[in-house]
Amino acid sequence: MPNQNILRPMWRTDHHTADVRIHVNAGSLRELFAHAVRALTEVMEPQASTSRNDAAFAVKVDAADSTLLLVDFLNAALTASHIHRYAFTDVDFQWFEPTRLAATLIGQRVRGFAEDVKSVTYHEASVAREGEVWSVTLVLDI
Amino acid sequence: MRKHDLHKLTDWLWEIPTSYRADMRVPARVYTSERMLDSILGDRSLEQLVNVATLPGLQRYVIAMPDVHEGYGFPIGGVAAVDAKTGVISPGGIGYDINCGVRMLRSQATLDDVKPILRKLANSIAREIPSGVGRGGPLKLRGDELDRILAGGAARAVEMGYGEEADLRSIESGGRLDEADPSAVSNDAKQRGSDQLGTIGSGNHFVEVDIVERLFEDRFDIREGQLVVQIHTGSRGLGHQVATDYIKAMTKAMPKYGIVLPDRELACAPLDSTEGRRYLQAMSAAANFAWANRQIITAGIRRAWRHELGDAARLDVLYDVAHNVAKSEEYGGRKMVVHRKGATRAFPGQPVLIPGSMGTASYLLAGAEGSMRDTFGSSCHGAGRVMSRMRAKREIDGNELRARLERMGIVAEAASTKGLVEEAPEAYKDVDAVVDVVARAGIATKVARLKPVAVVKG
Repeated sequence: MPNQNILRPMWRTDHHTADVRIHVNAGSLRELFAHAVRALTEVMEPQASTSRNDAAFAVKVDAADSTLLLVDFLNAALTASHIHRYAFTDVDFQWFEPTRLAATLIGQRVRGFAEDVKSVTYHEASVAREGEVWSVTLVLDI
Repeated sequence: MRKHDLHKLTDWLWEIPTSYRADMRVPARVYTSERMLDSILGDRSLEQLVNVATLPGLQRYVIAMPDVHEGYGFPIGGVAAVDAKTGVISPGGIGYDINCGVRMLRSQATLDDVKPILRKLANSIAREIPSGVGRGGPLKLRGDELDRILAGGAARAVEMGYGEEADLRSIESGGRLDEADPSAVSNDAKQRGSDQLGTIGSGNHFVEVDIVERLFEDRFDIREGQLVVQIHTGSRGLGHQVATDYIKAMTKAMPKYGIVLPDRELACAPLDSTEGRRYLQAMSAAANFAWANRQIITAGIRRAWRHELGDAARLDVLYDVAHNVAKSEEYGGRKMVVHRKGATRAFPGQPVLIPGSMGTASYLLAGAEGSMRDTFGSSCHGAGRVMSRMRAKREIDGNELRARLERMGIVAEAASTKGLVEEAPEAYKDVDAVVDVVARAGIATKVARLKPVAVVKG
């Protein structure tokens, strides 16, 4: 099972007629990306871990801006979660810039997920900064 | 948006003129009664429809059907036709679940025939058809075998022994889009779908046994009291990944084509571009995967049906429609590509399948001439959600819902209570009101009202 302490994120879900809307906050852009991965994993509702060993998955993403980078990064995590049944709870960034990143997603292999997140959409997505707080709203297709 | 922003054209048709927003290329039309319009204005679906009206190459107007509700990019229940030469293709206008659709099977049995064994029958169907999130089926295809499904659709499933040649005559486009090219589908997409053929998945997908409660018109060889089976599912993880891959690719490509849109989820590329052509090939392959999926599920339901009702019990395919797809069609002598996202093709005389919620009713309609004149051959696709899943989970008690369905004579087999609660009848619009609008607008005529008796859900 994912580490519940790590999965106490700065995020919340909100109403959407057919899907799920999540709001994520963080103290830095890098932290926002890590929290968003945890939020995505929690929405997917991982079902019982099948292994005590960590699962790791390397991703490299580049995009025209931070919002696109975040959505593409989350979709890379989602694809790996579906294919390999990985529940990611942490991120180790090898390098991180506003429009490109290389990271290792860390988590555990699970039996499956109780919620079928089809994709992370670009709809309404906009990474914003107000003072020391970074935030984003995302609509997940379920 | 407020009601005064819309012009009432008839009692069931409203229009948002291009003057509403400067970037609209065409008006936006909404098929609805005035009462339902108040509910539609409760979410952002019409703002999303206005965003759709900014796509390059649109023809006449964009349309929201009466079951419209908020999606992302396109609203669910949206129709947009573009010129086949100068228009664009937008993967968001088809959605992530490519060729999500409905198949209806016609039995010769009545409720009296199955009443004593209804729960057993539902159990048998549930055993044959894996459901639930990410549940794989017994069929695992890779490499060339999967590519043959992507190229051949339902016909390939029949070749593999799932069903009969005759089934293919009762499927939209014969269960296969010729434009499909498996090489346009990524390895990630193929991996996500490799073990999902023959499974219904979760969310609003289901297999349902219905009784023909009321016959409005003597068509399609059905009669009151007869049982039919509906299958609602699509291209599963394979289609989800195809959409994800191409929305990303088109987002990157749009600056090259000078396309600027109000919502990135509408990302598009010219039909006559590498990105546009590759997406059409991949989307068609995913659509074929979905038709093969419903064909393989049909074979499983037939096994369950025969197991419980005897070897002579038959289930014929009445029809199979896609409600998330783009199709090349001709209107007024002009070739167009019609995006349907949560909308059903409704060519004159064609069966149109409208699943409602599991506690109310579904409809079998026949496409009418008005669809060709007014809606690019399209109709609504269901009842349409009104309550978020989050609210449904908070407000609806799973045990109470199961008991209520039981009292209504509906057997429910669900992989999870959560899945059942999210799809409770009160989470949906009144399907009778939705279908009334479509019928009054001359888009389709009512053939039969169906009442559920057994539901198998993810």
